[in-house]
Amino acid sequence: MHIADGVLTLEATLIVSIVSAGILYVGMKRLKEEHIAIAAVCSALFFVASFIHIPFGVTQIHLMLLGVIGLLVGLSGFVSIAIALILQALLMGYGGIASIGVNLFIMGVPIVLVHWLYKTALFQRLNDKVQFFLVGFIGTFFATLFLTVILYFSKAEYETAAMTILGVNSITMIIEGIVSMFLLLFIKKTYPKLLRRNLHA
Amino acid sequence: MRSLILALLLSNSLWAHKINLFITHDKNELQLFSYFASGAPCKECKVIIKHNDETLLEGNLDKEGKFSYVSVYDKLMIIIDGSSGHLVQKEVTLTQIPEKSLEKLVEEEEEGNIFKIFLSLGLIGLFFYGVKRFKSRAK
Repeated sequence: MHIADGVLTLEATLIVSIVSAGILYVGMKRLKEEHIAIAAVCSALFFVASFIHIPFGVTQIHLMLLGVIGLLVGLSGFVSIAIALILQALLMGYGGIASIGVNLFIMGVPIVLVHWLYKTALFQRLNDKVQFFLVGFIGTFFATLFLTVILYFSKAEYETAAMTILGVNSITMIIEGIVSMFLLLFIKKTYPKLLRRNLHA
Repeated sequence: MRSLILALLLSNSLWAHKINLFITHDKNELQLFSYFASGAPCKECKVIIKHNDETLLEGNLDKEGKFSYVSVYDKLMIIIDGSSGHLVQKEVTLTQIPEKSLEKLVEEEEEGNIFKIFLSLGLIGLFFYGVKRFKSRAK
């Protein structure tokens, strides 16, 4: 899901990076002192999860756990993702350095959306298993959607490739949904306060 | 069907990350191995071998991302092009390349990656510790 340097046009990279920087600023300001520890854990979780690759046909998919992070830290998860992405780009060669802003938008905005959706009355009416599956599924769905849209409008040569991304990543959405469901059920059983706090944040 | 496979390959290379290139030298035979940071081999990626700006060879890596070449020159420029802006190039002097097996080189790289992962986790902890200190001072 990490876009490398040279893939997008300079205009697309700049515009999306400026939007990301704005959201990152708000996320940093809203990061409460008591949430810093969990934000750090989420950053480490995202960093490590990205290394779990699952071969799928001609491509590979990797976990991101955006839904889980969104549920645990909300908008402040933007900071967690930003730090993890910077380290992944600088030390591990995951994604380009100039594309950090774009990658942050693609993987950070779904966190915020999942956080808002989870608090809606409609979502709260669902049972735990369905709720938590959707949290993982929707997080990856939005990340894939943003990636597709950004690629589609960036260069004409990526139009066909962009359209296939949604199909390729559909399996990732299901895997993310299942992993998130088990992870969040475990958290709810062992440390329910973590989820309740988020709901009222 | 072919266009779908090509599109899938292209879509993969868009976020395929950094390309690693390993070079060993065994009995005058240059051995190359290239793979993406995700661990996937640089399948059939373009390989260009140059000597003093003169192109000696243009070919493709095999399905495992490997390539062998017998060189009469000592100094070479090796370029691997994984498309979509993913490119790595290395200038090598054959007599100075340590005679290590590809497996050994990859093993050393993986050990380096484990160190980088732990370093990154430490830096994440350090960053958020700094944020906590800053926020508590600002109160």
